[in-house]
Amino acid sequence: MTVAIASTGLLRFGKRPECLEELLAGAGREALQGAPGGARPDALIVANMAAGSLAHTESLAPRIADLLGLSGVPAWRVESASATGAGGFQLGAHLVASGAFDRVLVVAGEKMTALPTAATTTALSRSLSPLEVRHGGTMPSMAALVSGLYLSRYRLPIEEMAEVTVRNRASSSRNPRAQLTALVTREEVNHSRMVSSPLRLLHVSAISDGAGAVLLTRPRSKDEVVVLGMGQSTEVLDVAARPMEPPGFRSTRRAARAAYDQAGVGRKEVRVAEVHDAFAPFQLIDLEDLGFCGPGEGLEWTKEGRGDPNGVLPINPSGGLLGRGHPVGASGLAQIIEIDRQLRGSAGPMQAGAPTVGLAQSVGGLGSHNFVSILGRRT
Amino acid sequence: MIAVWSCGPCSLLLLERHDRCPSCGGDLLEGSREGAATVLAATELLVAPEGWSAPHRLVLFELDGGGRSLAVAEDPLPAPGGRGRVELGQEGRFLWKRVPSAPSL
Repeated sequence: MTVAIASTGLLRFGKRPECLEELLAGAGREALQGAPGGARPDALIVANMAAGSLAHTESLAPRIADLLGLSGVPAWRVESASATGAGGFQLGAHLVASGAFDRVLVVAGEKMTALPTAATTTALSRSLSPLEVRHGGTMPSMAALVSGLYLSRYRLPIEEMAEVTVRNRASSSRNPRAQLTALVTREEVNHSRMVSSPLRLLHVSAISDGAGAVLLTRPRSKDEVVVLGMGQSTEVLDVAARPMEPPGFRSTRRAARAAYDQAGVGRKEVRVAEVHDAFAPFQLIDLEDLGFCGPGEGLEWTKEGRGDPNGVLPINPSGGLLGRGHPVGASGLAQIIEIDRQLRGSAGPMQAGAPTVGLAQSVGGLGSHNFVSILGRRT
Repeated sequence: MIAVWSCGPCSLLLLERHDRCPSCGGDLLEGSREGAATVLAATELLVAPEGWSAPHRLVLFELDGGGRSLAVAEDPLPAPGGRGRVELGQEGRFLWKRVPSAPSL
């Protein structure tokens, strides 16, 4: 790939007063202010999952172009369910790599807190299959079934999933842009209220508002953060119809294989990763799907501290979705911004060593279209 | 009887009618199963989705002879490995009928 990250912008996630358009434009302005030489983008991608349902607005591409003073620039809206931000990033990178555009601004965001929780849950469930929706399936209940399959396969007690939440909340306590900054204990996780058995409230990422932005350009200097490789895969929409061995997401495994191949790096060269922990067991599934550990080994790998900020491969040093919050359209791009900052050494109290290769993995819907992006910094 | 569609080229099994195999585009052959099934996973959602009442119970099941899908279950929530019977209810929804001696959570 011949694409570099010129600058980024990332707002704090949480319940925010701004409307969706203001969130997206705010992140976009932050990225543009940091752009070397104040470079004006020649294309705009607006990534958002469910503006119509959650924020009662549409036609976001020209709206955000207007707010950023970019009217006249070609602009598109991209949607990939809960991986929307990653989808926007990868499409923007393809636009630059193809030579079609020199500077593409990708903004990604979601406004989720304006509606009651039940209405938000219903809106999110529209990314599931028609069969699942017909049976009353929702994101939490379908995630609970996927988690149940994983736990049963490897005979893991749900109480052990607190290891993920406790660690990620410790990381988000150091993240000034995180929604949830208070530490939690195993006992608090395991006594939090049940959402959809066996998943409890503190196994589930928070409904949130937020936005991020990335300006993509062609590489111009030797020490830039560049896109090394990208992969994406769709999957049969019905969760129940998919292969169940090994448990997890085949779409992540396919996307990872494509990204590793394009990057020309192996999993052992990755030194920091942001993975999609919308539900605590998903982080262990992600670790296994990405090849960081073997099938069924995610829990022990985690308990041994290998994914801690000072471990061999820091996982979610930002706090992940469990700590940072999960504005569904923004999370995939926020992961990439966090990796960019890790590679630049500018992650502040979240900095985890001096990595030169980092990976972001995002789950769309219930694994129906997943993304893996690998970034690197030449030294 | 429960209708099942199987893909010749890739062996994918579906309990929902499709024009072609969603995985490989192959032709689908229609068959049927008796309805006896095993619970693979189950959940009880405590905040029901719109149009449903809480708690809402879902079972991910596998039919004897192959084919997996979701079913709506009544109290008590069956445990993984539990045996039961799947019936087709209104509006194309599968219903989980527990075998009286089967374990529950």
